[in-house]
Amino acid sequence: MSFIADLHIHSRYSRAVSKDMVPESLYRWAQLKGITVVGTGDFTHPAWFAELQEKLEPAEPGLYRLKPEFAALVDAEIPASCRADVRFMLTSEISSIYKRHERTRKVHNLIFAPSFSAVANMTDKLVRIGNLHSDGRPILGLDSEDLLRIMLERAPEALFVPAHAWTPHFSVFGANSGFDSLDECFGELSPHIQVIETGLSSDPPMNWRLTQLDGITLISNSDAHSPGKLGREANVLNGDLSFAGIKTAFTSGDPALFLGTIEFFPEEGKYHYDGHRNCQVRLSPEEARTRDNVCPECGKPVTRGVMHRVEMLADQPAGHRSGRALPYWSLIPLVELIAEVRGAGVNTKGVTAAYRQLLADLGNEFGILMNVPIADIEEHGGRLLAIAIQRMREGHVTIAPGYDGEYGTVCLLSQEDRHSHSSQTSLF
Amino acid sequence: MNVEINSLLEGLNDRQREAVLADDAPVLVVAGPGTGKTKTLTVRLAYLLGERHVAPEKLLAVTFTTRAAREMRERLERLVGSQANTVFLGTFHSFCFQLLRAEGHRLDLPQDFGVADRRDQVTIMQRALRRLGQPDSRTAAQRMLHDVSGFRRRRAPVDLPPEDAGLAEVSEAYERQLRKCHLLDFDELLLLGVRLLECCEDIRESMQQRFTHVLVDEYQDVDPVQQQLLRFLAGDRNHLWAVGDGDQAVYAFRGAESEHVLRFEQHYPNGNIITLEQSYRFTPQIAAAASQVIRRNTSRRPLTLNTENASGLPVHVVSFPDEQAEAAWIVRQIEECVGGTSHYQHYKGKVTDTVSRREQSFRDVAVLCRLHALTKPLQEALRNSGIPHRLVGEARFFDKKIVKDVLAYLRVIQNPHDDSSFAHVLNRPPRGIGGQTQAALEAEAEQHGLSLYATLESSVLLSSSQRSTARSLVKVIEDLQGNMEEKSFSQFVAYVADATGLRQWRMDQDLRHENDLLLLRSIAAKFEDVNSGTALRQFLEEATLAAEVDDYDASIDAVSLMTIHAAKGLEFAEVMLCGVEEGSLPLESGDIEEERRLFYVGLTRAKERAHLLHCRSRFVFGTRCEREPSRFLLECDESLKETTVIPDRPRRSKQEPEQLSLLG
Repeated sequence: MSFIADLHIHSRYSRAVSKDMVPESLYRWAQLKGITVVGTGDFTHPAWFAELQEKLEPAEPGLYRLKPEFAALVDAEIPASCRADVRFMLTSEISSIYKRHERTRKVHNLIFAPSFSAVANMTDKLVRIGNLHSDGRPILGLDSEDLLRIMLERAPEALFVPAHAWTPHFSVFGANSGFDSLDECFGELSPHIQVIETGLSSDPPMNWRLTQLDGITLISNSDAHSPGKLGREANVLNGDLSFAGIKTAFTSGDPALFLGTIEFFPEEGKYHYDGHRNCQVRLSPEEARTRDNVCPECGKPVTRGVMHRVEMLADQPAGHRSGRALPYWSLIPLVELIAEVRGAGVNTKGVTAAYRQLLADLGNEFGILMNVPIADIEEHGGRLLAIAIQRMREGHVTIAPGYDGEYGTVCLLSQEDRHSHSSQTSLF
Repeated sequence: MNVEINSLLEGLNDRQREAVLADDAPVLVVAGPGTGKTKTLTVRLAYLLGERHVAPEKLLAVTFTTRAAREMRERLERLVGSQANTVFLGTFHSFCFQLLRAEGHRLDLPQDFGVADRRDQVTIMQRALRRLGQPDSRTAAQRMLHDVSGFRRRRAPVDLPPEDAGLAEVSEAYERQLRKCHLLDFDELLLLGVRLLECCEDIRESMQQRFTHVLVDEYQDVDPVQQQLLRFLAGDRNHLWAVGDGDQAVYAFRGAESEHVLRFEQHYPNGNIITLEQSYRFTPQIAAAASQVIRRNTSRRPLTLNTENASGLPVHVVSFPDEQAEAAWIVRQIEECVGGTSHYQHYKGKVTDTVSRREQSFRDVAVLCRLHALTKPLQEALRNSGIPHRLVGEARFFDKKIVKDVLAYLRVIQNPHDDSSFAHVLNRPPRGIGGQTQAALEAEAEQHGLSLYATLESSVLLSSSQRSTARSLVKVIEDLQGNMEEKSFSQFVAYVADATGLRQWRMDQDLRHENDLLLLRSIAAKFEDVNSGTALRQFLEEATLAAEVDDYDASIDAVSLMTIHAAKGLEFAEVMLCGVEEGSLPLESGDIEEERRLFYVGLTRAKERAHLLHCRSRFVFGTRCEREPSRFLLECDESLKETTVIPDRPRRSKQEPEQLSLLG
């Protein structure tokens, strides 16, 4: 049976993360979204690790579930239509800041671990290297290759995944402090890198343009800092529901085990295009190149986005498919769709209420976005929402691309749509 | 000449080569910061071994820290291979420790003596004071330790009639108590080492025969006792080769006298003095600024730093309204050095764009200060920032609570009659044996001439519940003793923390103790090649002998926050020297020439960039004080400096019309 996994998230012990990122909320929101396996994030943080040990219990091999006494506290808040099993996988992200080949490198890496003891084996070592207390995503002065080595020595069955591989400031291929190849970053250990996370600003086709990624599986996760953002990217799996099953699906990239990824429209990501946020200058890579990558407003170099960086490293034309190409679904979070339909902010009361009602009626969010028949959506959510979802499913989306830390803005409905269908918005 | 030696010599400048090739007359190499002191010393050793065919066992090289000794051994190994292992390369303390372990019985020292750490010293001094009927508070004991230490150093090397009969009495009582626990303190290691060589001619003779060449690092920091030790070891026939820099002598408070650097010719009329002035460490700007300041000192050997390194930026002087602003600026600078540590900073435009990046990693940056007390706001700011950093010098790792607890248990396991350690573990975790009971037990032990451990089981003072607690503690210790061989040493250390209930108890107080425990375990893992008994002994020795400045571990990539004293011998791409103010550098009470040397040492730690920071107001001992920039800042030319002034925080004006109108 297929299931969805979102493995990169942060706990309330990380900087700029919602206080609500606790095991109970993850359990609840995973059900609302339709996620079966959710990452715990932040396993290096001592207090979070202690909380996980207190609240989780072993389920299938290498996976954990919320203990019933904690689950009982939130079960009532989950609509019957969404209720499902949730499993936790122990995961963490580490920010490595270090010098390699005479340049400062800043790379974020994910580690997925199969057990509390594997985690303890690793933190045993990491605690000597830096402060694990002040941030759930610790900053360590530790070379990515050394981090990988520590993992291989202390928890060989764990999985190492370079995080959001293209973001400019903190990633393995980042324009500002990354590398040009996995080999350059991981040296002799690079054969152990079999999986990378594409991040919000890049989608699989962008990655397929690099021959060096041909043997690499691309995965997607939300990097959620608040429960509502869970699943904005995720993985659709079909293998064994266990740590080893998921690991095999990832490392093999076998399309029978790994059905594909759920993606943001990459243009929506914060670093898709080039530009300067403070100058409100957004440039496509071509535009940036014609301006020598200098901001027309302030004259300083622009922050190069993911698209530009991919084009720098790509050795295949746009449209090339790699050997490991898997299907993917580009989705837009349901609240954003509702917000657009209603012409209101995503955090407004009305949008929240409509979102909840829709889930109660139609089941979890992924179901609504991907599978529920358009007619049912129209019945419960109105004509405009049905149109929006249909267009999204077909990929008919207009997006002003994100740049230099600014999210892109999506547009699915025209004035005309609103005009001709506004009278029919039942619930909305 | 041997080819390898030749190529080594080619890598040296003329002065360095002269120092390496010097004949056997006493040699003093005066080496400015970054002039290749350690390199010259190691090549000298290699030269003696390879070219002059001195047997490695005949070489004695003493350093001040185990870190320096380790570094030197590694370098020497690279030059001469395994021969390096038989050269005696260690600190004055480790030399005396080994000497006394081997020959201490001649002074009636027990064969298995241990070394008292600071904590032991205080408890033992308290006990001595109690016996003498004197005030025995911790503070009193600490003050007395300081006085006794000074007294013993002054008295050394020859027994002068005590100027202060009171101190002599305390000193004696304290030593008696130490001996009862089979312990020596740090001072005694050296004092007794000297005494042994002084009174046992045969040992002195055999040492002099054994070591034909004595090489000394950081000669300026040698105190009179160490000086005497060197004299005994070198004798008249052996060859003394010392390297040091009077300008970097910053241990006057420990009794070091840089006088012997100044008066080397007088002590050794046939001696040779070689001065190394070409620095390979820093920019010409830093060299010039440092030289201009240190030139003001009157009692020094002439030495003007020069360098062929590329020109850099001027020395950066920054003025802040207060210490909060200073701390915030430092954090920001560190982030700039690595080009930002979070998305958020980039998002908020808080880091400079990629063009002006400094391409540093955390370990390239150090924040130095005269006193640790000045860094409290900075520590807080660094903690909040998540920037990897470590405090070097204060709150030494081996002084952390849970570490001290575990070490005390380990000492008791090694030797249950170590009263000071036993007293430490008695009620940790709490077992219902309070301070009063403990004092009574100690008195009882005293009376019967028994150890606390021996007293515990037979004591009539304990209630029946206390007695059963005591019995279970004894049982735990016996079990641990029996268990040691079954586990690897690091597992054993973890097991001790668990089996005694320490871990649980400390964790309940603060989760951070877990970190310290993990760290201790990983240190213990280094001792696993030998059997557990040996591992335990070596581990405890290392824990005790690790001196203040040995905390710095260069393999860890983190920003260092340390005193200038602790930074001696280190170098960093960027140095921020904070609190460069009248009252903190120089300290009000400090000797101005010593303070100037400290400034000089601080500044010359920087390779690329030095930031000299001062606040216009600072919270000192509970009051906010106006502060003046340090005179040392005025002692270097304007042309070498670049000044940034961070303005005062805007104060809210007292009358805000909007608010008034709202109130109205």
